[in-house]
Amino acid sequence: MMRRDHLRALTRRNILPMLVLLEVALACTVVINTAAMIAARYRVSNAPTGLDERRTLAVHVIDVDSSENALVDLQADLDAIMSVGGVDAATLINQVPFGYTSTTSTIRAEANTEEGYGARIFLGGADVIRTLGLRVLEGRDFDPNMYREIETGASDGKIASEVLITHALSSKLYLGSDSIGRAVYIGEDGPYRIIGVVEQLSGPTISGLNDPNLAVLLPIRPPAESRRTYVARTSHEATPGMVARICQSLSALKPGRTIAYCSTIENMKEKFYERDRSANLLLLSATALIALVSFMGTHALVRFSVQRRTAEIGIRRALGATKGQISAMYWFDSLKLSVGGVALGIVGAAMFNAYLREHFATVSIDFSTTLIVAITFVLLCQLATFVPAYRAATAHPSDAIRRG
Amino acid sequence: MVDFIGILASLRRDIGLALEIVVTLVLGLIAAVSTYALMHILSADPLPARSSVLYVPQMESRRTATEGNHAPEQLTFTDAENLLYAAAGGARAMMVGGTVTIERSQLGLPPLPTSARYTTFQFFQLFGIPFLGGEAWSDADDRARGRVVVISKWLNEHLFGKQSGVGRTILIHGEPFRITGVLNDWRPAPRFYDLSGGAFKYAEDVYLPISTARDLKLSLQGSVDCWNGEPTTVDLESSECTWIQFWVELSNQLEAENYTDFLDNYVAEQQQTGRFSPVATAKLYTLMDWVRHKRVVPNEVRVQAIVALVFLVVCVVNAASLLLVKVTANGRTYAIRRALGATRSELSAQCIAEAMVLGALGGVLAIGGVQFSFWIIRRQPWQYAALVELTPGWALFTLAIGVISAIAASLLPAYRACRTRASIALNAEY
Repeated sequence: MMRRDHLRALTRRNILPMLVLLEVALACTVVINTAAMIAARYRVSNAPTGLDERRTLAVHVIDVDSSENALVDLQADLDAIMSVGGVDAATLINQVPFGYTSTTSTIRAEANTEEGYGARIFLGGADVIRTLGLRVLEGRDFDPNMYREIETGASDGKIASEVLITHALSSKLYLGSDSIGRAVYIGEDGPYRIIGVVEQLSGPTISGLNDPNLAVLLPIRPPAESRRTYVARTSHEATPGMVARICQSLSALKPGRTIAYCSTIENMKEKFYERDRSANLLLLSATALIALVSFMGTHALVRFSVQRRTAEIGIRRALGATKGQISAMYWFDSLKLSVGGVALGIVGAAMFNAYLREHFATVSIDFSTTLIVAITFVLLCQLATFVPAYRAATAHPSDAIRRG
Repeated sequence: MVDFIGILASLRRDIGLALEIVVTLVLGLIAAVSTYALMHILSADPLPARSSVLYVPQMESRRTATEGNHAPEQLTFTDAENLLYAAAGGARAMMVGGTVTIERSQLGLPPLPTSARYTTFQFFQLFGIPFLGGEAWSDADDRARGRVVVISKWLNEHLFGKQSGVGRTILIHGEPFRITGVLNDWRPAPRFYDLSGGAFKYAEDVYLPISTARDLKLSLQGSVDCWNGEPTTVDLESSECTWIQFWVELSNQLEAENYTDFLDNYVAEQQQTGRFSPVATAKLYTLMDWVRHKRVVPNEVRVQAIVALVFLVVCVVNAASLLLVKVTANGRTYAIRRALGATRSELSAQCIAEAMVLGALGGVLAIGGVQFSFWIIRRQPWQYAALVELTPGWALFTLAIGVISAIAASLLPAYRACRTRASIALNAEY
């Protein structure tokens, strides 16, 4: 009988802290996961492309008629772009990161092997490497005489024989050993000789491409079709005025043409990830609210406990306990509670993450995010303790005792 | 039984706590209801009147197919045409998306690039698309590669203002097309018949015969999947690449079964000629099965809803602990009432009723909050943003969830209240 009473007293006293502990644990479970998602999305939408994003412009023109003089038009367009002050170089390319179209293929180190990697295939006209602002790490850039036009080589099937590849692709194909002079196969074609490795040329993740950092560049001017993409490079950061002049010069050249896009790579990237940024903002505000609610919970608990124990505190103070000792008591209590809650929350977060990963292919939680969230929660609980604990410690002993 | 004045008096006594409880519940409700509503709206039936009779057939058309592979999701041109002209099924249409440029020099504007659908004449009948004026083109137009076009209400207004464009001519890539019909507003969400490039795109503004589009080499939009090592630039009509969507109307279960048999026979025929692999099979999806199979509700929306649900649980736990604080702080009141003869169930009922009042208040405030969060969602750069609207149903739902959450939060405190012993009232120390 006595034992049962004892038990009841115990559960009674602890039920409120238990609820708050549960609340902190649940909040922590969610926040660790949302923080990991936010961080992952932030990393993706801010990942560098390897291009000099502020000095590189991309323009996509769509002509209504498929003119017989496409080659003449092409040269006229390039001349128009180059005539704008501050433009250093311009060329035709088959795709840009964040553009409307993408061309990918399977790359292999040897013909007919199973193991291949999906990579972007860039076809670029004269001076494409410099125009994109890519950094050549090993080997060299294409020589001016290596550039071919896609129309010329169509009969014998093979147009170019040299390629540049990205560092990421080089490490995949040749596992970090020197890949200069070695061979790659693009789809069924090859071998192509690798003459250089660029540091980076990445775009967004698209279907069929597991690693967005893999790319091959060929010195081939793409076909002069009615839809064409130009890239241009400016000597300094491209100003909005300069971008507008380039767009203007192209649209003025031919009546009835549509300019599908015309902006710096930086702006295209911003626009491409606009959706992700807004999703992140919503998730971030939800995360902040969860933290706020668990802050409120802890705060209410400590405030209540201070209220309940006014008399006790008064007696302790009268018996000589210092203000510091009184508030330390509360600090320590809430520390125990938050550490317990956060520890439970981390376990919960791992389980929740396993569930989310299995059903929704979300990112996995990582150590540093988890640590940051855990520390934030502990600090938040301490912050929630601050005012009530201070009030308890500064109350006059006589007030405290009288109130009982 | 429950004393309403007593409830209000009790809530007023701890107005701070009551406010905190309401705020907590409101936050949880806004998050949970708006994300759940978003998920629900996105997984809704895009065509309630017709969805039960619309089917999409798929078949394994790859010669290199092996057991256990998923069949391609689109058809080859050959198969689509065979299904279209076979004597099986009700209304049916083959289709593919594209982009066209429309001349509008009469408006003093450059040509307008817009989305188009290249299809066959029964497309409109099949999906029950309302016409504002005119009608669909005919089978003869399909066969004769007719320069005929059906345009959306928006495009009609853009080009001709308030007048109907039926019978007039527009230039598409320099070629004159006669407008046979103008559609009324139509936005199936998701755009089930072609989910590529975003499931919640608007329906196209221009519809024209697929034969005509191919004749004029109008540009395609969507995925062209080629197998057997064929490059994607080959002559698509005769290739084994899959790039055509096909829909068929089967008005009852019997027709659906017959059509399944027909498809099986078709596959068997193709196997005999050596076109299909020996393991090839066919499959027939209903519209809703197809939409679910394609998982049109973005994962991020589902994850948000789950996260928000857990958040609501956190809020309920928080409300429970705040209520518990309130009950414990008022222990003496409960004890006195017990001493004066109140039963345990009366005390619990009062506690639950107090919570319900707070829950209802929270629910009402949350309706405004949900309205606000929908307003935010509508401003996001997402294809589906415009679909999100607060209906009276969602408002009621918010209120109901508010009260239910409050009851859930009050269970433990109510239990605690009724366990209060009368003796506490007599205990000076309390």
